[in-house]
Amino acid sequence: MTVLTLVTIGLLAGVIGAALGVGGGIVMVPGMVVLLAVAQHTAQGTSLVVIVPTAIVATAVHARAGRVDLTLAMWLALGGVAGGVLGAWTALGLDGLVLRRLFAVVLVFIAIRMLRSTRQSTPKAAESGPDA
Amino acid sequence: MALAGSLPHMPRPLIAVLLGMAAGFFSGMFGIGGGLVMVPGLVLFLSLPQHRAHATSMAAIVLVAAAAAVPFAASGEVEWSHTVWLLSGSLIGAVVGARAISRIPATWLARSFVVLALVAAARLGLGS
Repeated sequence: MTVLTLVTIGLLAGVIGAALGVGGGIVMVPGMVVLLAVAQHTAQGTSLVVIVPTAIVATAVHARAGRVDLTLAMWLALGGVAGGVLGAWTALGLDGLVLRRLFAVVLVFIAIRMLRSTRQSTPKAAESGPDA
Repeated sequence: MALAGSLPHMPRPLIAVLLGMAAGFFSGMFGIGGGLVMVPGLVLFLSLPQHRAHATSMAAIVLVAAAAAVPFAASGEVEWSHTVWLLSGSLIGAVVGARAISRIPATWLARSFVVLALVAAARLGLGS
């Protein structure tokens, strides 16, 4: 049952990521916490691990189409690696319940933003490729 | 955005490093990719076209998510057995999703996502 739930969460994350350009993490983290009672910290760590191979595949597809600005990606990653470790440390320093509530707030903001963007333009996501 | 006017005076690599740092923090803090911050930032501050911003952010996310995962793994906060199943589901989902774009209206998908996200947010925010 857990396996089936996990594959379903993954499927949803993949479909939404590819079609809407929203990252899979935003689906995987709440999916694991709400449906499988995984602890918030563990859900986030697990989500990050899954994002890596997914992003590699997506990047390969984009790179073949010549859409990746590699120099810019390198600069982004330079700051991103530092920020990522700092963010992870911050999250690990927080109480699980506090982190979960913060995540809920972020989720509401993302939902509102997506609702707004669907009102402005309809088939905007069509030009984006697979997403992590 | 008010910020956009003042930023072009900064060298592009510096803008990219700062943007990466902000997105990376968000990524590590909430266990998500960080594209939500990076893509709009690349479009707004570095004037990349949407599809190029998306692809470039994806390349950066490979390293950002890997780096952010390390502290979690070191603290034992990764459920390794779950990663295999999530990954198999999401790879199939990505292929299906890429094909579904032409058939399912994006608006419909986006609204379903919004409903799911709000339900999940309520469960996450109100549960103890």
